[in-house]
Amino acid sequence: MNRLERLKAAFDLIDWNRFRFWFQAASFVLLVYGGRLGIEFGKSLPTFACIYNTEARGGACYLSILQYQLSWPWPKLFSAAALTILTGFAAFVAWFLVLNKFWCGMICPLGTLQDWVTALRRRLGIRYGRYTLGQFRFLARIKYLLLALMLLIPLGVGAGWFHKDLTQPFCMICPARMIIPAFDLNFTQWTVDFSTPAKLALTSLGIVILGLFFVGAFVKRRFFCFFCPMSAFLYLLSKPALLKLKKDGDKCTRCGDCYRVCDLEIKEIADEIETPAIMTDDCTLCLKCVAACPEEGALKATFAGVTFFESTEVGFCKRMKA
Amino acid sequence: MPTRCLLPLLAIFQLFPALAYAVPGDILWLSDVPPIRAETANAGKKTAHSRQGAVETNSGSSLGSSTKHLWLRRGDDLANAHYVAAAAAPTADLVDAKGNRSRVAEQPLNDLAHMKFTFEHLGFHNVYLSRRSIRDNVMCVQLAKAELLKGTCCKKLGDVDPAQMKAIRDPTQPLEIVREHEPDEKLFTRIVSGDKVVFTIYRSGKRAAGIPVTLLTQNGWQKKAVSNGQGQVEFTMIRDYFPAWSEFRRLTKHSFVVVAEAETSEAGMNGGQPFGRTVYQATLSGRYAVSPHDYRSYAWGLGITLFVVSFGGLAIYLYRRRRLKPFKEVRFHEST
Repeated sequence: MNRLERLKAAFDLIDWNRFRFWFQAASFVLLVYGGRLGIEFGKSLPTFACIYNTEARGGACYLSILQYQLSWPWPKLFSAAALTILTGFAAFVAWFLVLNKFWCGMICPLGTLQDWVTALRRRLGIRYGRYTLGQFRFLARIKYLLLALMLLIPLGVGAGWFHKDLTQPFCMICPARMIIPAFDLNFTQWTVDFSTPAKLALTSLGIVILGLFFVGAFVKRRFFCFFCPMSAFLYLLSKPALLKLKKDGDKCTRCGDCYRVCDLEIKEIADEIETPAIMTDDCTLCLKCVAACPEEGALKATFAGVTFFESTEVGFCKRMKA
Repeated sequence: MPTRCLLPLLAIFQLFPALAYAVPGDILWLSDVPPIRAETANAGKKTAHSRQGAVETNSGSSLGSSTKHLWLRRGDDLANAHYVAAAAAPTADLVDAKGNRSRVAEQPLNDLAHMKFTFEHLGFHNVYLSRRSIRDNVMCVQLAKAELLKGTCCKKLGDVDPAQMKAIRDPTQPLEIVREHEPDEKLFTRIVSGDKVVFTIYRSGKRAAGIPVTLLTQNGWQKKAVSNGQGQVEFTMIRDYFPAWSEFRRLTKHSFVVVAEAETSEAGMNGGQPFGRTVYQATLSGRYAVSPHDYRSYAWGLGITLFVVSFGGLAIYLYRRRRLKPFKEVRFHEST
């Protein structure tokens, strides 16, 4: 056994939930307070490092920049200026291709917050809710609708069809706009803007969604991720990504452990035994399913084809004892 | 100047002759509002608002532009002040944060005195323009100043050289008004209604106490003060924008001009004309915007959040309670 294999064998035994907690906490600090530490990852991040967290942010969510650029007047949008959009998109894709939706499960500050709210609920002894299969199928489509609106409305602004206040429609209703700056004691976004009907509608809707975010996160695990257009956007680009979740159907006993620990309640993770590439559009690559699987090599996470974390019987038993 | 201001002013001028020069109608100031936009605004068709404020994010009509345009205007009625014809305008001095000085030639536009500035570096730049004339044996030196900013909202404060953010002053100016920058002022900070703005008066680079200073706003409001021992005066920018909700424009910006005057006994000759004393009149022009407090409500924001959280929480609690099935023991007998 060479050194790399020994390292992987040790990693397979890791207490994944604890590792994930600290990884998420570190990512949260870097993205929410990175600016205070002189860290800047740029403005093309595939995660909700909110741009409204002006001075403290360690990077910025690409959706904000994309919406702004798509709202350019069409003569500018379809000119050489579009190269700026392409370079920003290239940086976004580059970030994403490396880590795939690991950004959602391990790095996203809004996802981390939902996990912390879930931990609080668990400590209070309140049970969580589950969707029925019909509800799940219906809700899973909403994020694609939001993604389409998020791209089309700014284009309409650029064409002069819509008011300029609709330049960043998703940012206006995204709870991150209010929550993330609040960690830097910036509460300026917790307001309703009465200046125009468009602003009034969007900021009111944003505030309502903020309230629903807290209520929803308290009873449903990763409640907001079902509706997240970033999640939909990332899934559309996820095919060539380096980080992948794979399943060996022959080794699966369909015990359902993976489904039970899945925050997004993805049933395919337990049911699918034909396709090795098991990642669905709702998957956040949190890899909790890999950690919860007792079957040797049934689920594995690979990076550029190399397995770095897989389910093992020993690892499962060790985690159960912990 | 509104008529209601004239009588009290005349009384003040009788009591304090030095203040007689404080707000002459003949003030000369620099404006970044193009003539056509000013006319449109005055015609009541649309409120003038420009992205070219003296303290504002990127100048010009296109994002990322680094050019600024200034016109020379005359008169204390800021909304209707005349644009000075090109022939009457001399060149201007441009001073950047590092103290580099350059002369900018006038570029007449539609026969009006107009200057165009192109900036390479982010941060503040001062424009100075002076004009001399002799009237009644008095040399009147009019010093118009504008503080321009090549700004951006895309850079954090730490990414900008602090020297670029400091208020610039020019010790060679005989009389100068300097707006003191806020400690947390950024490259996109705007002056808004309700802000307390401190100006320092300098005479030949030294703080000057006892100088009468007047703030004029576009809607005709005036406020007078005298510089204190530190040469400073403080004004609160007035809240004077009260349109109907349907006509409210949050990007509205109005002009303001700060005027300071000082008189000296300097005598001499200018262009063959003798003069017995000299009056310096300095102006600093800028723009102020509508305060976000005028259109944003924390009460509504927090109120709606609390309502949704309380109502949503209660609804879920009641839903879950309704779905709880009471324990019911069912017994089966082996024989049945």
